[in-house]
Parts: sequence; C-alpha cells; structure tokens
Amino acid sequence: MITVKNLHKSFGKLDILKGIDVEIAQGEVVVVIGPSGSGKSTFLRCLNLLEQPTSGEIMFEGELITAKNHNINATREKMGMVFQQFNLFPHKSVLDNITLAPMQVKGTSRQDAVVIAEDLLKRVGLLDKKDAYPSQLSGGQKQRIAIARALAMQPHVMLFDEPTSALDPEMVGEVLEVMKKLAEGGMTMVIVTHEMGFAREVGDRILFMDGGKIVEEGEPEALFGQPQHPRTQEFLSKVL
Amino acid sequence: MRNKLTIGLTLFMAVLLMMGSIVQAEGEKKTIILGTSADYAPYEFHKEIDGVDTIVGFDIEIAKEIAKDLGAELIIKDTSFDALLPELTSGRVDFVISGMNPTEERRRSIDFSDPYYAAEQSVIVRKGEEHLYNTMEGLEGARIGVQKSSIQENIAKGIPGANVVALDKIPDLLLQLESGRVDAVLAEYPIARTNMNEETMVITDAKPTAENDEYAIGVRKGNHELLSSINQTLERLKKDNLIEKFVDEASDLAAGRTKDSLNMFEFFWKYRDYYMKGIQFTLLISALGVVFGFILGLFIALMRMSKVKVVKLLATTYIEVVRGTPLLVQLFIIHYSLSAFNITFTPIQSGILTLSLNSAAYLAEIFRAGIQGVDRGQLEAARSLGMTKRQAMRHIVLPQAIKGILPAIGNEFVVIIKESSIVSFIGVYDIMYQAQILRGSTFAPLNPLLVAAMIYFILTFVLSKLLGVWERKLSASDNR
Repeated sequence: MITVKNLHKSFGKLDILKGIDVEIAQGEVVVVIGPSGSGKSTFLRCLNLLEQPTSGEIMFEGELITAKNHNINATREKMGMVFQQFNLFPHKSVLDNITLAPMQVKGTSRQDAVVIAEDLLKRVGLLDKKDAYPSQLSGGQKQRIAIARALAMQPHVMLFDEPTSALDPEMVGEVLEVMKKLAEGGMTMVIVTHEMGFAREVGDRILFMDGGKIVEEGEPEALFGQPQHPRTQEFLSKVL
Repeated sequence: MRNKLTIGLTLFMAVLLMMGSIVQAEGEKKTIILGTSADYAPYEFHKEIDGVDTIVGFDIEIAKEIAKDLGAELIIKDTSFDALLPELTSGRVDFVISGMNPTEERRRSIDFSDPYYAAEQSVIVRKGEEHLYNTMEGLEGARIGVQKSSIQENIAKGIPGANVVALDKIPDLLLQLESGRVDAVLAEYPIARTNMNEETMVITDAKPTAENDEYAIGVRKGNHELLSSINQTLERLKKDNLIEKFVDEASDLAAGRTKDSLNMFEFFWKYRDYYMKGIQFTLLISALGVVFGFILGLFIALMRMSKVKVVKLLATTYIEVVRGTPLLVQLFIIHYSLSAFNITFTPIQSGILTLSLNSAAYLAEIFRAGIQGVDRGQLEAARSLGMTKRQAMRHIVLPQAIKGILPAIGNEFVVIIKESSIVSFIGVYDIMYQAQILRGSTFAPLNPLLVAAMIYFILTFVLSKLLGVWERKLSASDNR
C-alpha cells in the first residue's frame, strides 16, 4: 500500500533521515519506536508530505506521491493524521471540527457529514460532547475527537504522531483503546509512539529507528523478545 | 478566497465608476462651476433661506450675473480658501470668486479679471483699548490676528515687531481677540462690520494701506474666452452700480443674524439637519473606507507573506510608503495631483479611495501579525485532512487570526472614523464640514465644533462597544 524507497530528509545541513526503505501492506499496523531525534516523526510526516523529502520516492496505492506534479491534497484525503498536540480547531465546535473537511474537501452535504460525524463520535464515546468547544475538553477527549476528525474523511491509512505523549497518564488508556478498536477493524495504521506495551499488543510489525535509519524491524514478539541489534537492545533495556 | 478578493476589488472599482458617472451625467447640461470659500460674510456665506441652507453674498450675486451672461447654469463649490487655487488649476472649478486679492504670487498660477471691488482695511480691537491702536504705529509689537493667505497677512507681517497669528476663519480670529490671545484683528471693513461683536469690539481709526486691496475673479491661466466674458459682465455691473447694491444687500443679509445663546444640545437640535447629513457622509466614507481597506489590507498581508520576492517587496514598499506619509498629503495627491494625468475623482471618491488605501496599509500589518500568531499545527492539521492552502487559510487560519487581532482592527476602524474628518478639506459634506459651515453662518465660536466632537465620540464609542460584544461572542469558543 505504501512503498518508501531511499527516503532522505535534511533541514539545512542537518540530516534527519538517511535512507529509509519500507513497505507497508494493506491492513497492517506498523509501530515506529526509537529514541528522541531518531527521525520517527519526520518519517511519518514525510508520508503525507507535511515534510517535503529531500530525495527518495514514496508510492501510495500505486501512485508516486513525491512526483512534482502530483496532487497531494487528493492523497491526503486518504491519509488521516493524528498529532501529538491534537491540533483541534479551537474556533469550531466538536461537530464542526469533524464535518468541516468532508464538506469542504469532498463536497459532502452537511446532513450526510453530520450523520458520519455522530456515528464516529459514538465510536469514540463522545457523542454528548458534539456541541462543546475544544477548550472545554480534557486532553484525552481532544485526542479522541482528533481521531474521529481524521476518520471522517474515510481514509485508507491512519498516521499517528505520538498521539499520547501530550496526555496526562490517566488519559492515555482511553486514547489507546480507541486506536486498538480501529486496528481490530482492519485499518492500516502507522504509529509513532513511546507506549511499548501498546506497540507489542497491537502492532503487526515494529520498526526501530535510530540516527535517521531503520536499524531493526520485525514482529513484536521477536523484536521485543530477542532484539538483534545492540542499539535496539540498549534502547529497549532503558524503556522496558 | 482569491475569487472573493477579486469580486471585492471589482465591486470597489464599480462603486467608484458609478459615482463617477453620476458626476458625468450632471456635466451634460451647460454648467459653469464657481469655486468659493463660503465663510466670508458678506462676500460669500451660508444662510438658511426658507429652511434651505444656501450660499449667498455679493460675490455669489456677481457669479450669477456672469453665468447669466454665459447662458450657463451656475454650480457653486464650497471649499477651504487654501484649496481654491488647486481646485482651479486642476480644473475642478471654472472660476473663483472668493474675496480674493490678485496678488503677484497668485498671478503666477492663475489669471485675474479686472478688479470688481475695492475695500478699506480696518483694525478691530477690544472695546476700551481703541486709544492704544488708533494709529498704525500703535500696532507695532502687537499680537495681530489675520486670515491665512490673505492680504492682511502681508500687511501685518510688514508692521515692525508684530506677532502675526494667521488662522483660517474670521470667527476664530474674533474669538482669539475676545479671549485676549491677540490684541488686534486686521480685516477689511465689510468683513469687520459684519462679523464683529459690537458690544465688545470696536474698529479703530488706524488705516492700514495695502499694496493691493482690490478684489478680482480668478480663472485658469490662458482661459481668455471666459476671462473676457467675465470682464464684460463686470463692466456692465459697474456701469449700472449693481455691485454696490449687491454689497449693501449682502451686508444687510449677513447683519440680520441672530446671536442665539444656545447650549450644545439646543444647538444640535436646531441644526440637526446639517449634522444628520454630515453623519451620513462620514459613515458612508468611513464604512466604505473600512470595508475596502479590510479587503485590500488582507490582500496586501497575504502578498507580504508570499514566497515570491517581487510580490513581497511590492507589498512591503506599499506599506512603508503609506505609513510614512501624512494622510492629508495622500488625500491631496489623489484629489488634486492625479488630475494632471486626467484621473479625476469626485471629493467622495477621493475620500473613500484615500481612506481605503491608507487603512489597508495599517490593516495589512495587523493581519500579518494575526496570521503569524496562529499555531502552525492548525495549518498542518487542516492540510493533513486534504484541504488546499486556500481552504485552510479561509476556514482555519484567518478566522483565528482575525479573532486574535479584533481589538486592533476595532481600534483601526475607530481611527478611520476620526481621520475621515480630513475629507472636509476637499469639500466632502461630512460632519466636520458641516461644523465649519455652521461656524461661518452662525458665528457661534464653540457649539458647532463641540457638537461635532460629541457626534464623533458617540460614533466611535458605540463602535467600540459593538466590537466588544462581537469579540466576546467569538471568544465563546475558548472560555477557559
């Protein structure tokens, strides 16, 4: 579904990504772990071109999205993204946060968009908050709304950029619960996280990144159980 | 969003063109436009006749005779005295009769007719002090009030040691005399007689001699056809002694004034028609100035943040130039100087255009600060949902930016309402202009301006409060 070939990204003289090759299959849940500054978030943000890669190729559903004349907006419709800081639209109600993109981008009628939004709110357990504004919600609630907002576009893949890092500990669970249900529903997901337990439980495949490269990858049991690379071993010994 | 901007700008142009065509339609009849500064009784002044504000005076009677001889309809354009020469040279008026002396300096830019009237100069002082100023020598070292750009200003400057105070309006000068800020006011006899308060002021025996104390009619340089026609009319009037008759009639009309002692509110009520008209013009000009300034300012702000260097430089230059030059200079350039390139606007068009262009520069900087103040994550979130840059700007970034800068925008709107008073300089009938008319026609020193100040205050105060309500409504979304 997503094929990344020799992806490089540098900011000025600073090389963040130094050649990433990865293949993500339909329905797969890929969890990216690694120390801070290893390039996890940059890699994720390159997938929907929030960061423009310096070189390399990204194919999505058979299309080369890094091509110069590619219409990235059309691709982003199919790639939902959830941010560490939620980035809900503070001037819009919860319902409007969710219905805005389908109405503006896809031209969905308000009526239909509201039906979709209310269904999603039910799924994340926040239907009663539909008229609230983001500032009236807790962090966990905000992130669940942000997930619903991304899902409203009916994306083919969901990108999660450290979705629980900005949350108080007691709110992490409710967000992971929503993500878990999503994975069980067969959604293709790429998740950058520090929640190792969650990675192990929900991930189909774990990518360990360090220094701008994928150092080691494998199924959760293998990678967490018998890490091969010394960097992986060192990292896991610190976080587990 | 660019479409909306285009529509906005097109609308702007359309309104200007529409107002232009109204003026053109008027121009189809044969007309002749008189430029005058109607605050100089008995030469020309405002007077309510049968409930209608009318410009009267013996200059006006002469103008009527000139128009009659030309077979044209007379249109009177009332502006400040200082604006008369530019009005004439830029072709906005055809001739000027406004108690104007044909000085050498003026002859350099316009042509004058034969003199039509000569008046003696006189010295007005406070009653009881006349013995001090009964000779011209007595005026040496005195503080002397004169009308700006007038022949009296030259006389006063020639008096040794005199401290000359030059103001626009005769009533102001007399107020200065009454309050002891000047010792004497130089004015010519008919003016002095008509305007002075006979209970507190007196004309002394001092007789200033002027190098030129005659009045003549100004026309554009080289307009010989009109000039000879005017001279013929003047010859006829002089032969029939009609000018003396006009002077007498006008003095009677002016002296028939009533010196009511009204308080501010009674004054407003009595002259409410003037002020209501002024409010309409002030609101029209400010509102359109604000709307176009808002649209244009947003456009310029977006240009300023463009990645294309030329576009960015263009916007930056515009902002710096507009903010670095006085509004009055901008107004005069647009209204008077552009006519050199055959671009002429009516006073209202010039006023709206100037206020729009001026406020656009200020609003552009406010917008830029607001847009840059919106968290980057907002744009990213919108773009990640597939929105185009334009959609993200319009639905996500701009609403938040505008909310953040609302107090600053409100402040700018209030400033525009106040600054719009400057358009009275070019003859837009706004609140300030009406106040000036009333000062000339009622001789009330304070009330016309106090009422104007009160009206401006109410307008800006109400606007601030309304903006406050809007702001609170918008901030309902972040009541933390």
